[in-house]
Amino acid sequence: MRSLSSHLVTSPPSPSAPPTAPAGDVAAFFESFPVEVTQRMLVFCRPQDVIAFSSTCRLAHMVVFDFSAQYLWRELFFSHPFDDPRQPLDITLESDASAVDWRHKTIERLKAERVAKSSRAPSWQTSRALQVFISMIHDMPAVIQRNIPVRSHNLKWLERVLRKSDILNFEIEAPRSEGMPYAQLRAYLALSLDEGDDEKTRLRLEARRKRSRIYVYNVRNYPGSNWGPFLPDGTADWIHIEHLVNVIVMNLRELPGMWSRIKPPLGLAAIRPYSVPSNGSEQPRDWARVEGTWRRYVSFMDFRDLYAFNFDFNRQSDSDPTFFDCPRFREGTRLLELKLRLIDREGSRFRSHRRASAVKSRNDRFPPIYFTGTSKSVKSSTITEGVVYMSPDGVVRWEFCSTHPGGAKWCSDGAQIGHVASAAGVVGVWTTHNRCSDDTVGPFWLWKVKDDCPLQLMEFSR
Amino acid sequence: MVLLVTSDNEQFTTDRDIVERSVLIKNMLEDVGESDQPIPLPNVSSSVLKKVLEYCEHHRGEPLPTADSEQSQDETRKRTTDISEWDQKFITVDQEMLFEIILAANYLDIKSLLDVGCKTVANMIKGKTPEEIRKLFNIVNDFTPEEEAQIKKENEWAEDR
Amino acid sequence: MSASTSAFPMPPPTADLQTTWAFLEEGVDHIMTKLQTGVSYSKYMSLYTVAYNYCTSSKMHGHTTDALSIGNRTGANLMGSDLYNNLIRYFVTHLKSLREKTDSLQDEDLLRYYAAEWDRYTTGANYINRLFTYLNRHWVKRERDEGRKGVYPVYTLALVQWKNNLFIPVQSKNTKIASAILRLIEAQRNGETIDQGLVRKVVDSFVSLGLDESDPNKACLDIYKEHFETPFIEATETYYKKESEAFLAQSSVSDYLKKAEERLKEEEDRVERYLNTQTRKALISKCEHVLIREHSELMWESFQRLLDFDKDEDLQRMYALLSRIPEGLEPLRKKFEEHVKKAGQAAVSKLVGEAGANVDALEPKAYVDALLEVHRKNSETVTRSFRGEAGFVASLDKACREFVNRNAATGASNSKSPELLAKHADLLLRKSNKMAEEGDLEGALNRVMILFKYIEDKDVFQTFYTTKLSKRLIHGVSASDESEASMISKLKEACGFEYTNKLQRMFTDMSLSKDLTDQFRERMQQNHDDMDISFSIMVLGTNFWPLTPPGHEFVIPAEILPTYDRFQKYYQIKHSGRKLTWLWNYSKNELRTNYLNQKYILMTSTFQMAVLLQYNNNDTLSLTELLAATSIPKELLTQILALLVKAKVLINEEMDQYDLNPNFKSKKIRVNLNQPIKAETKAETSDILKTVDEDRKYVIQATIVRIMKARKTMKHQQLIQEVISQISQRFAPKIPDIKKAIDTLLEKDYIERVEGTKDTFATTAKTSFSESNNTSVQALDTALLSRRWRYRQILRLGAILSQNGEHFRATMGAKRPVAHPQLLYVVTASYLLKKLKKLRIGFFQFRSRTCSLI
Repeated sequence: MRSLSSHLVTSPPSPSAPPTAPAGDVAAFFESFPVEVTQRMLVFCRPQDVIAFSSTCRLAHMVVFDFSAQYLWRELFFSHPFDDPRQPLDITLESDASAVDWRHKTIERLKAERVAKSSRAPSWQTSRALQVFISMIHDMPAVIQRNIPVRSHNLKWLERVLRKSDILNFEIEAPRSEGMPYAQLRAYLALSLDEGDDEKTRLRLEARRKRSRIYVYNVRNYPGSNWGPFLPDGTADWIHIEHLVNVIVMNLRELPGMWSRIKPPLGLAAIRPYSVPSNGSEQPRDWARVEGTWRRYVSFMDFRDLYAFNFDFNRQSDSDPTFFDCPRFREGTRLLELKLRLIDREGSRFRSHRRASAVKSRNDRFPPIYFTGTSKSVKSSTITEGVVYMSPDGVVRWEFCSTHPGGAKWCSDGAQIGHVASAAGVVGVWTTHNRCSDDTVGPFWLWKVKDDCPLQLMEFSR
Repeated sequence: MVLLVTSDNEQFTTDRDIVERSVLIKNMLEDVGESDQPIPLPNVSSSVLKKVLEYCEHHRGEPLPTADSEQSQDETRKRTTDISEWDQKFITVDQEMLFEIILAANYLDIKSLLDVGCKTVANMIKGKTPEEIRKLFNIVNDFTPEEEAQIKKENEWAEDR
Repeated sequence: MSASTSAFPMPPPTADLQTTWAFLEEGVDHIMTKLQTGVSYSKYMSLYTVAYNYCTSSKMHGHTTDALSIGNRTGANLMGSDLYNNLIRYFVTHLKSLREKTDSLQDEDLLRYYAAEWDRYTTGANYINRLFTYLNRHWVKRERDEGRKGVYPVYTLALVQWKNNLFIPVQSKNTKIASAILRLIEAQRNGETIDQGLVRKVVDSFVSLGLDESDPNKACLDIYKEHFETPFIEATETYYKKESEAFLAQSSVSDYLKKAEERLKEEEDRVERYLNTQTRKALISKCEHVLIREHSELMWESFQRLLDFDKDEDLQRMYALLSRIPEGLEPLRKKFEEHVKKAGQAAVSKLVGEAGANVDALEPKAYVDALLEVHRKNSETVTRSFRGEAGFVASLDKACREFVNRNAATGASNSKSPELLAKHADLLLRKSNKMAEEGDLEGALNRVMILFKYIEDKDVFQTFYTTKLSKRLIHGVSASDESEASMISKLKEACGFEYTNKLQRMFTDMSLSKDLTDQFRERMQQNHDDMDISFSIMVLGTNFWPLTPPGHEFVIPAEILPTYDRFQKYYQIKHSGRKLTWLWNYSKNELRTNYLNQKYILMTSTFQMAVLLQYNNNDTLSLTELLAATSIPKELLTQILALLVKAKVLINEEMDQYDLNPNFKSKKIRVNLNQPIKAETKAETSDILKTVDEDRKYVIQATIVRIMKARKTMKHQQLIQEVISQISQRFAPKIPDIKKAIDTLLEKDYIERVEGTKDTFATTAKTSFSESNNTSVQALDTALLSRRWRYRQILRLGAILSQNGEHFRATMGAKRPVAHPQLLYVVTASYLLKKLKKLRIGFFQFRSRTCSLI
């Protein structure tokens, strides 16, 4: 059997042969091992150890990177553990199930973890790491599959890595394209990891809130007909979404008493696919789980404040954060209840302000869903109609209008935070129907509750 | 009772339920039927078989993994490198014997023993640099310096810091 | 150790492919062809070891070191593909020789050969599969994981090769294998005995040959379906088509039903015995089509004859067969409905005789029994032959509804059946009914309910029933309180609270009245020791009792006046604001004679009592004197007198001169003089129907208002449809009545025509007074309904008194009341109004005007 090893040792490895150890009596163990046994042994190692092993010699390198090594890396990937990325739910359809590069996927995640830990990674690495985190979020499995609750390994891993990392606390002044992954990840997290009440955290959050308010309430950020948190090509504008998230979440943190408990679920667990509460009677065509009972917070500025903030030419710039420090500044929050049910497109009076072709989903599995329903607030009850569809980048988009008896219309445009039918719900912008430049705008947060959830409506202003 | 004959022609007599920890032998006894013929094990030496039978005897009566569970194994289950106390003591042998046991377990198809062996080797590798691993297993570095530099750069991220 | 071991010594671990395979092939062939001669341990171990050694030699092959380039794959693979390909080659050759032997074989011989070889082959392949475990576990698994098509575990590979190199080639010759099976099955259908185990084995092999590419362990029926199931189903169709047609040409439908049933059972068994269970659905539905649907017309046609001759068994069978195909039962249901309808109508025609001669003299009991009998018989048929299937129950109900409401006895009148049924119920519930056991009565009432369910004009029944019940209660002739309560609860269950509300209130009034009588009597005993009238009273709510006060003056006799006054006062104190109307015409009295040797007790009406009391002061009175003394109208008075004369209490020897008969004699001590007066009985039925008509007017109006309130505007035709659909639960409204109601409402401004249209109506301000929720809508109906009772004020007292030395003396005593005076009150307008307010009806204006009329 020993003779097996002679093959490697005696043949010249390459033209520029390195100094090879003399073929001693004791050869490396794995040289007498079948490749599959060596690989099985490596399955019990950490990926870092596997890499170290591969660096010892050519044969080791081949065992790790060759010889049907995808098998080895798949085992390493799953035993790490990570969620199976071959989800039937994959909305972006970016990967063919059998063509997953397990080695690449495993290594890029470990590299990203490294970047998150480091305080001085170059920006290209950081941005790559953020992409990896986002793709891992997209890989999280549905909460229930075939009636069995499924844990998400990615969720656990991400929470551990991100909680320890400072990576999300940089305020990026970079171009939008670079800021986008930061914003997307922060929108997904919805400040759920920023919970410390130390002075440092408080100051950071206050600063972020101000920046977000300035963005959200600046009507110049709502050009033309495209006033939702989406870019002209129909993909999500995560920078905008993050600001909307920040404004609402910070407002909710200030709500007094019992209201502080009435909140959309936040954090990574709440953005998994199909994490919405189920009433057990969902129609198959209702892929977005539209039907049922929803809660909705809308935040708004007193109209005079909004006008002053936007059009007071005495102020030097429209991004003066001190405006919001002024004691007479008021921002209100209102809780509403929506009850929605599906209707056919033919039966719907709602027409998206976007072109019909944009609403038409490219993905057959997620055709547009038209719905109607009622919206109740402390003041009134109105009819709400709208549509849910899949935007080109796989973000679930909600557009709807509420018509008041007096004829006034309020229109909303929002993005589902996280996956299809996430518990976190939908964040977006509401405005009056006409979209004149001096119309009032504000952020809203819509999330689903169980049908028997007790109804409490309220309006709060500081 | 079953009669086993090793590659160096030594004979071992043992209980059927002990030797059936080996799925190979279990299948064969099922297929061919029981008889008093000796069973030759051309890939296993007597010193190794002694160890293997010691292991089988200790674990006799434990449930065997079924073919099905092997296939539909939950892919996302975290693999543990824990080894029970008895097994740990059992596997504390010199490197050569360790490798021989692993090969024998692979040949005889004794999954739990194969895993004990593989885990033991994995634990030996854990946290070591390539150079340390080379030393440990007497591996000859046959990379060119260019290759080595390239590999080092490529794998920088994996170094424990 | 066998000789082969020495011919092929086990090669060393380093042996090349050729040596390795030569050794393995010999072993594989031994297992595939001569397994019965056995395999030794050493043979088994050497084969396994050689295959293992080859597969674990990966490191020696497949790459060159100088191809190493970091980070890229060289494409080196585990060892195994050579062994795998050699196995394929072996199977192909092996199967070719097996196939050649099939050329000369046919039918059962072919199947026997196929089954035997299949057994041998699959057993061998299982062995091989285990010997190559290591190949399966590593090389095959990774190839499959990486998505390579056409690589299978060794056992599956063997099956794939069998399919491609034996099965398909043999089958391709006129479906040789499948045809052989089908011929065997046909032989079995013809009654021959066949080797079912053989068929089962071959069919099972078809199932095993199906392969799901993505998961070889998953069952896949594609081969079975294509090569066996489809031709089998076709053959089945042809066979049974021919057989059933031939059979029907010679035999009766009854025999065919039996035959078809047996055949279906046989085919079910066939699946059980040797086919794959998934074939059941296709096979059975094909048989159902050929055996049942193709001949359903014929079965439908024979159905009537089976019904006519009560062929229960055949009916059951026909039902069971036709229920297996969609729409199979519908024609039967229609025929059955017609059958029942005719039976019902025939039964009634027989009862009333030719040309309806006996309609007027129709006994309620005979009529009801005749209807029930038809229902019972056919209901049994439904249960027994049609398994109580819902569709037949519906047909029965529809037919019964038809003949119960329209038959020779009813003519065009919808009210005849409810009237007769209510009268029948009355007879059942009277004391005079001789239903021996309570159970019989309960059963009889249940049967009444069977017919009641079919009555269309339930309001007519309700009105008759109410009238009859009031009589039973007032006159105390009800058989038992339990039976009355039981009947009411049945009606309530059938029609709801609203329907029986009034009936229940009548019982409440009865029991309140009893308490009131006791309380009053007690009070009188404390305050008036002189009271020697025994007096009892019923105070009955105007709204609930169908009773009319006397339409004439009446002078209350002096003898009872104190009692009358005392009760009036007593009642006013107790219930201030209520108005009592005395229903003299319903009151009863008992008078004790003091002027005869024998003391008799005369049971009289109040008017008779008033007449007789005049003789306390005179022995002879003229008609004129009596008229003056009582104020009873002449027409009625003469009838009363005629009765008294007939009973010989009075003597009428001279014209208009009435004397007290001093020689009155009777066999009984208690003499009942209180006979109904003819005019009263005759008027009753038509009165009741008039009442019903009046009620309906209000119900229709109320319904229209309710609908208009919900819809705001509506077209004429639409409105009429809606009214019909809402009311039909209670009765079938006539369209002219609805039109009339619309006109009335237009007049009263409850609705108006929409300007510029002829036939669209809209609500007015007046309509919307009322809230449109269900409670108030029901109350609206009630309010409108109650309107009629204002004509029905009520009353009555029967009382009597006597004084010493007079001719009459009331028997008295608190313990045993002798006289039964009774009284009704009518509630006042103000009380009604109060009640309406509570119900929150919008019709205040309307109602208060109505009320003020009272």
